[in-house]
Amino acid sequence: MAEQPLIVAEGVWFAYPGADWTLQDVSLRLAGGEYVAIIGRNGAGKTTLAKLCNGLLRPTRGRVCVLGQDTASLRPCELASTVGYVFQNPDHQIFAATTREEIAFGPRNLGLGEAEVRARIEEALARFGLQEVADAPPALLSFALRRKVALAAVYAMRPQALILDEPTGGLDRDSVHEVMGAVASLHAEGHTIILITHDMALVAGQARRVILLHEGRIALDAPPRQAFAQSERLHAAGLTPPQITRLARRLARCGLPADLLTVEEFVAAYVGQAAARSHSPWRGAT
Amino acid sequence: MLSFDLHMPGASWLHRLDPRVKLLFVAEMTILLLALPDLPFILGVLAGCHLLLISARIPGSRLAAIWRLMLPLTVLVVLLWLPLLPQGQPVLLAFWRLRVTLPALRQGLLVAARLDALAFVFFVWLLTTEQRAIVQGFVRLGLPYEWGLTLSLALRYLPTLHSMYQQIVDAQRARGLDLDAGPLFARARRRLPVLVALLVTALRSSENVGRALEARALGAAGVRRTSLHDLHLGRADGLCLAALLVLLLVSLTFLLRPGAS
Ligand SMILES: Nc1ncnc2c1ncn2[C@@H]1O[C@H](COP(=O)(O)OP(=O)(O)OP(=O)(O)O)[C@@H](O)[C@H]1O
Ligand SMILES: [Mg+2]
Repeated sequence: MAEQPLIVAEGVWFAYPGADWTLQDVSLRLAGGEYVAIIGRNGAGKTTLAKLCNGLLRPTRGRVCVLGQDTASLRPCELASTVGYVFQNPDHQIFAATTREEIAFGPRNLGLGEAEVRARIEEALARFGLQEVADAPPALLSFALRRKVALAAVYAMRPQALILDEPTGGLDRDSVHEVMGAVASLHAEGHTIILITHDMALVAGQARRVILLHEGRIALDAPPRQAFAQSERLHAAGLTPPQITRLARRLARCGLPADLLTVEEFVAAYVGQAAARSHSPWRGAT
Repeated sequence: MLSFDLHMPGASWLHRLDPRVKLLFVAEMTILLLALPDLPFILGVLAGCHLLLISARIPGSRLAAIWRLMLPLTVLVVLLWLPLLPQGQPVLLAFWRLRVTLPALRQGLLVAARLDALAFVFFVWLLTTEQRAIVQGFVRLGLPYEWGLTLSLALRYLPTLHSMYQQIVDAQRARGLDLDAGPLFARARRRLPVLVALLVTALRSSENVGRALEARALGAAGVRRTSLHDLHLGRADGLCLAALLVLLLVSLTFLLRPGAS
């Protein structure tokens, strides 16, 4: 079978009732296994685009297909097993009496057998480090744990694509590390990841493709290295490249490449530079 | 966003009228409408309310929308009254065991008209008064400030709650919850995840709002509150109060006239 794209948007226009266009002429093609970051300032339409991808919203004009099927002909519950969506606010989905039941909700909706549901609960608990709170009421857990429960609950449905709407908002450094580590291993196992975030360092460190939304349109669609090289376009959309990229660019005249994305890359380039010059690269640069 | 506020912004005399006067108008009209089962009076009130709303520059399209809302209810009330009072004369229509009589029709129309008039009295108030002013009116008439604040917060959070509800419905549908299939009872049961999540989220945010208000010293002891928008009775308010008084006296003499039922 030929490689079928997972999600295809063709000329999508979308407006909420009684409002102006939120998305204008958005076209997009996501293959299986991609790791895409959707960025843009508040109100740019990131969440709206995500909801169009899993059928919660339908395009006003144009069409969205998931695995070749038009979302207009499918109900969200039919798409749930293909495109999972973890909401911006975990409290919008948490309702069950225990974490186990919360995780079981999705798989049961898919009509899976009891043994399979149980296996998936345990696997999801382990993956997100939730074993200790497995029988606690999730609504009473800390915010970071509630976020993980929300993620685990959607993950347990084993969707091919996972949309994560600001999964690190309100989390401390360690929790961000844990959550994004789990996401990275999901990607390594073949899941498609669609990450919505305002954290550019996260985008630079993890995503393979960046989609910038600005004024309802896709302003940029490129791998992070190329995307973050376009400072003017990012700037026009109210964003800046990650700090380390900006620092490297400011130091370009000292011989550092201008398109570094992570601290590790920076260190490697810096050490290489220092070795080549055998003295501090800063001298003479002023 | 969906609006639960009927208020139509404007600067007409009715908009500027003191909310206490409008509250008095609503109270007096409600009592009179309940006490005077008189078709000419009821129709007079209806016509008067329309004149008031037109003088407040409420667009005709809005009035039409209200009537579209009221009409099914009005017709239903009349229809429900038709088979009652089968003993009356003359009989307008008789088939099978049903006898529709003129008194029944009269009574049905009367009750429906009264309902419409009552609704319009409230619409005059709600269409021309901001929520803030409505609450302030109550508070200045003696409702404790905290109650007034609670009332306005509740009104203010209705749209928030509504959008929260929609978000939660979306979140659960994205987890495969099918809300639209199957028999009614099963469908209602499947709303449970939505309702529980809504309740928990609403409780959490109401607790936060309460804390935020306390953090800004709500309920501190020994405080005399001042108000940014103070209420003063002006000339128009005085005239309206006088008109309400005259109306009350006239209606009372009418009610208490010899031979009144
Ligand atoms: N249910 C709705 N009804 C009407 N307008 C809406 C609705 N949801 C969002 N909008 C509007 O659509 C626009 C895009 O919203 P969206 O939530 O997609 O933005 P976003 O990029 O996800 O922003 P954020 O970074 O704040 O989450 C905003 O202007 C928003 O006010
Ligand atoms: Mg959003």
